[in-house]
Amino acid sequence: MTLQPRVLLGLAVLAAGGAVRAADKVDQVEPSEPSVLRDATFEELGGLTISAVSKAAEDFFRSAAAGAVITAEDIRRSGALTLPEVLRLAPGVEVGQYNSRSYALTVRGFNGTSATKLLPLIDGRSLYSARFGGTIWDVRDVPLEDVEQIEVVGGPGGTTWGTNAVNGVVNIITKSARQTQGTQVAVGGGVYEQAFAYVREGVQTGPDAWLRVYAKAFSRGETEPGLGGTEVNDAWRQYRSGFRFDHEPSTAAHTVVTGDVFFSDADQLIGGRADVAKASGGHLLARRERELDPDSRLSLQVYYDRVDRDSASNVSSADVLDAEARHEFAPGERQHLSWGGNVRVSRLEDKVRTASGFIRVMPDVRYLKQGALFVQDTISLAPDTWTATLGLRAEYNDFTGVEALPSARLAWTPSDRLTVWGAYSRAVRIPSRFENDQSSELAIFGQTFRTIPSREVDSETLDAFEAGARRRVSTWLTAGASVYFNHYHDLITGETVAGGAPGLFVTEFGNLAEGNSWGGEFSATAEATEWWRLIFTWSAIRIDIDSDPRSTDGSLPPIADKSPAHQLGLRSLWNLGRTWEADAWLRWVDELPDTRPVPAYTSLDLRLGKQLGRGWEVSLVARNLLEPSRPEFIFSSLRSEVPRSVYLRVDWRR
Amino acid sequence: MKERANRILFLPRVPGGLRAGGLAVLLFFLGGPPAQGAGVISEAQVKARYLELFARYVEWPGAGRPNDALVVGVLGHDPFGSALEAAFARQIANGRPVVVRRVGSSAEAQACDLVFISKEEARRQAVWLAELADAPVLTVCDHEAALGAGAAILLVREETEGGGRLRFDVNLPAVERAGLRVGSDMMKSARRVLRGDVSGS
Repeated sequence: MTLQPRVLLGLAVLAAGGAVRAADKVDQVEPSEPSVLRDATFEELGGLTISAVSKAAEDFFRSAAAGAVITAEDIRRSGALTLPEVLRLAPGVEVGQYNSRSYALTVRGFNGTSATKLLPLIDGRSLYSARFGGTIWDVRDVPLEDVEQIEVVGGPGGTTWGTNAVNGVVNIITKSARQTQGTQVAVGGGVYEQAFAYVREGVQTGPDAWLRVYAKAFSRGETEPGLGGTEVNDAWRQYRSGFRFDHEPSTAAHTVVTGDVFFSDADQLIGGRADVAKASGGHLLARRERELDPDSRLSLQVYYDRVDRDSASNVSSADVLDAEARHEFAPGERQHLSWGGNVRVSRLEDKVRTASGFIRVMPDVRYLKQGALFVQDTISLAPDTWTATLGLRAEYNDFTGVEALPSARLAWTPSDRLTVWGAYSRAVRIPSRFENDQSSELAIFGQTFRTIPSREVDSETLDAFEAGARRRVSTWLTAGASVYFNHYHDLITGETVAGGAPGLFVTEFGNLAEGNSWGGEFSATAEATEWWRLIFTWSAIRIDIDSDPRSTDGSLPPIADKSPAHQLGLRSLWNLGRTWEADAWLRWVDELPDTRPVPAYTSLDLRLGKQLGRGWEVSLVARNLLEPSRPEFIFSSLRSEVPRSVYLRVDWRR
Repeated sequence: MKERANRILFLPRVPGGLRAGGLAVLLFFLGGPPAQGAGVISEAQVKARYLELFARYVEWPGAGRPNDALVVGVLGHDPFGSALEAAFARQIANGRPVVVRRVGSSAEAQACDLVFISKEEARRQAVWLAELADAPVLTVCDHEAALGAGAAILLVREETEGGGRLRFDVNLPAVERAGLRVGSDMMKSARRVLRGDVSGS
């Protein structure tokens, strides 16, 4: 593959255009301030969020865990329109799109159409499906305009977040309603990203109380058929509306209420015939944090979440009710203790029918009950220099009983410019309902394959050893690196035996595989000048899984071939004058050397933004510029390719 | 064989596409003009805007200054850059023209109506505040120890889940000692209003 001349030409024009802009900006020296400050009242001033290195950013720099923070600015300037696309910004996140709405997404390996070992959350609400054992990304969304930041944590987060936080956690945090006051409208459309719209209204509802209400909708076009493929028919549409209320009378108390509803229609092919998959759902969450005294905080959170899906042979609904209480206090000068409990009840309903036999999940409705007690102690061994964090979570679930999730972390912070850390932690992935309750029969070529409910299947367990460092090399250069060695055991396998009758085979789930993975992530951010920021990321991984000799399931070792050995990323965020932004994002993803390999690819995205004044802004985004289309991941026979996309976006805020 | 070695050693195989892409980005990066970042609100801008509001909501004793101008002074370290001039761009507060000055001593500061002392001056602020205590000067500080040292108003940065925000405390005894009056709208908006003596003297 070579770079096309017209792309180069476009870049040259951009660069030249930038130089011209510089010339007519020189005379703009009069002092100015953002319009939101003009005529602000005391209340409005007290509600504004100010930029600078925040406490959250400082805590992150000193934390003893691998991770990256994707900021609202990173999201806006990436040009990405969906959460999986945004997550490509963090080093080590493996994202493979395999049709217009579906993504295989994980960190630190084990990728698949349901990547079982990554736990994503929005404002503390789990997005993980206990039915599939993974996250269905096309039903999980949030207005990206309202996202404050996304923390992508590599490595186990089980002590804090519970089971299924095995390889990593994605923690999506939305902005306080205080920060989204006024009106914002964004509309756009183009090729592939056909049309999208977002409307938000933020109002102050009382002293220290703020509310925002939003609606968003989008329509995305079809991907390209892969090699030898014909029709794809996978365009889809989604509508979502929601709100967030914040009451922040002081730092001592904070109440948050969020909610949303969504509807989604996705075109698909079932047995070669056009069909529409439907999904809908919503959530309601309330959290209250209160300072009991200066060294003690109590937080209570309750949420309800529902997802309904109706896709040809598969009708399912999942209701989750979750409550958590957490108390933090300082029992002594050098200790910070956090403890609490969590209960969760999930109601999982599934009806599955296929043409060539049947798949049933029995019984139709199953309640999954979970409960946890956790404690974590942060001990300052030497003030501001050595910090140890010891934690333990004991979590019960109906499928496998009680699981213990311990972790021990140590951080060395010799100055505010360097953190070095190491950690051991254990995490488990509990079997999905599919692995517990599936009863299926498929008849192919005169043979019958029957799967029976496997209630004895146990959890998958990870022992993780990690180390890393973060360094502020200078005022303009910050770098972070992490390495890990993961040992997995009791990995879930499907064991097939002859069923006693000719041509009958019976599969039951077991735990007959184990193995290791190792690798690392690196990122460096250079604020070369006030108007130019460069971000470099690199990640590498090796996976080595072996099935037990007794196992008949050969499907696990090849999971190593579903992760790119290397991923590289380079982003440039460039402010041209006061009103222009020119951003570029170059990525290289190694091949997936599967039996049907996905070749390595290079991707280039460009974004050009212009603030027109009076709250108007336009941007032009071109993604996947280097190829007309490319495959990123293969799922069974699905091998559709992600096309090039170009869209124009207009923003208005008041 | 080389392929295998590369995989074990973690060496990335760099294809032509990557080289071409790298060249494109290099091209894209060249020729960049220096310019100002836009669109973010800095702490200095919000502080400056607070000073402008204080100038409107505080009443100074009637027998005023020469020319009746309201003088805003930054004593010592100046954290504002051009933000203070921007906030007072209309140059009028409560019908009085506004003059912004940078001053270096408490003697000069006594000729001002409103004086800001930044937290970088923590070492000198106690002495300065004591020398300004009886003058009809509204003292505004952003170091946490300033209220105890007799500052009239403290600007406080609060860290919350949603990010930092700036609020203010009013030290009523200090305001009264300076012979000033704080408007009721401003009092209502304060995070805290100290009514007793906090200086401990």
